[in-house]
Amino acid sequence: MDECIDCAHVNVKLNKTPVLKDINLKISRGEFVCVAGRSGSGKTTLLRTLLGFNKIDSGTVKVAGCDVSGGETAALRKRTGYLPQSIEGNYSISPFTARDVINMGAKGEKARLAVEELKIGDILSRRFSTLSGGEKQKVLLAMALSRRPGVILLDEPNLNLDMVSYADFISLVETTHKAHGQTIVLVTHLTDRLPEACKRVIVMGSGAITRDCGRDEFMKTAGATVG
Amino acid sequence: MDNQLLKSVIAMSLSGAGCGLAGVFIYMMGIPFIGVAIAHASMAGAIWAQALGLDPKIAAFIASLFPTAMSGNNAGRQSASVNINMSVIFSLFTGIAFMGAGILPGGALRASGYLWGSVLLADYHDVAVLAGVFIIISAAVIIFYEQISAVLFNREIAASTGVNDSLVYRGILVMCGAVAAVNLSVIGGLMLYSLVIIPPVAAARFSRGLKNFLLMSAFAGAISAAAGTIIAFGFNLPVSATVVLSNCAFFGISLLFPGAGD
Ligand SMILES: Nc1ncnc2c1ncn2[C@@H]1O[C@H](COP(=O)(O)OP(=O)(O)O)[C@@H](O)[C@H]1O
Ligand SMILES: [Mg+2]
Repeated sequence: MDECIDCAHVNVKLNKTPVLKDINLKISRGEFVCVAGRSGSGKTTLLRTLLGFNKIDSGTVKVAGCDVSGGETAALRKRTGYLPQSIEGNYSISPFTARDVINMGAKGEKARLAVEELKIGDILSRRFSTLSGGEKQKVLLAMALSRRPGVILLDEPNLNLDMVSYADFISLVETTHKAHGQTIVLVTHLTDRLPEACKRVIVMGSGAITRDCGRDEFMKTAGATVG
Repeated sequence: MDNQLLKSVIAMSLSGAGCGLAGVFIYMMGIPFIGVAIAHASMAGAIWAQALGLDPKIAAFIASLFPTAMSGNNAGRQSASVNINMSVIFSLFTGIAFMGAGILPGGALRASGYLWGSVLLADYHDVAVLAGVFIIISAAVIIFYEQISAVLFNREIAASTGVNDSLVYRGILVMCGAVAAVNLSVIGGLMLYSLVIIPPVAAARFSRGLKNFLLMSAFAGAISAAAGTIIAFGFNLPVSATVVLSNCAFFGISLLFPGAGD
């Protein structure tokens, strides 16, 4: 099988507390998966583990052909794009423009194409710190896309967005998924608004995967399992 | 311009410029307390070194690395936790510094020298050291501009694009330590922090892009320090205090101008 993400018996501790417990997860190349679960269930920790940011106590993690648990992170960085759950707002007046931020991903043609794809040409010279929540997310997504990653990990991009901006953002993610076929893992608790492209839902609870099922099956019983 | 004034203006401008650069780092990382902790650690190092017959500048630099080392690599990348840790470390080094001031022979006098600083006692060797540190930091910023910029924007995002954010973060703090160490005897530990934080705060509203911000902050630091020094000589006022007030005045005047917008 063409696995893009493959976790086997993964355990992660943060500050000596077990946070991920025996995670087993296979995601195929090009799949669009949503991860749901209560706050504190380990969703962010799972994404950060896939990115090699957390020490893996036991088990193996492979992402985009890189042995993450074996410390192969340099190549991993080139193949993954990440939008953190929250980006710390300690720069009330920050000098970075939207263009500066996108260029942290890539410069030149690659950046230009990402900007075109997300239709954000008109905000490039504005300061990032003064953009709306939705515009910020688009700029960060453009930054990630400009690096042409095969895997995109999005951690609750709805947090600072109203429903209309969130729908707008998700439709951009779906467009890019359709065009480039990236593997997408979207953490969201908005399970009543699953993107069309998402065909599989994983539910986490207390650091373990408590459900892993197809979209349709999930929709039938959603209210009972997440909340 | 007499020789003493010229030398002081050059020294203070270099101080102002170096502090202006370090200030941008501290401002953007949102960790003002590390600035204060570094200043006091350098002071403790310098006071104890002299009593032990060591070079105070080198000791100040080495001591300035302690807060950086003690802050860990801040793996959680949270500025709030760094500020809390740093306020404890700041207290520790203030205690160590004043203990030295109290019990070392001649300690009180030396401590007051490092607390208040004196550009008048600076010689051309000190000026060369100030210039050297400024040049080294500028070179580091030019060479590692992309990495530094990404880390100052957001460490988690920097890391996700392949930047070794812990290493760059520590490197930035080491540069801040070097600035504190060489400026201690010139501007003094008490006022060092004002010289570090006011230029970026004044420059922030006017700058677009990090390059621009660094240049404006260094320039604001240098100009207001030079102006303060000239005023102090003209009216026979204490130099460091005049420079800090001139910094504040510079900031006040900057508020009269519209910012660079969004
Ligand atoms: N640095 C840390 N040290 C100890 N526990 C942590 C740390 N970070 C997160 N946790 C704990 O791990 C659990 C999962 O957190 P997280 O992955 O952020 O959950 P979610 O993203 O699903 O809300 C929570 O119980 C949280 O308290
Ligand atoms: Mg989370």
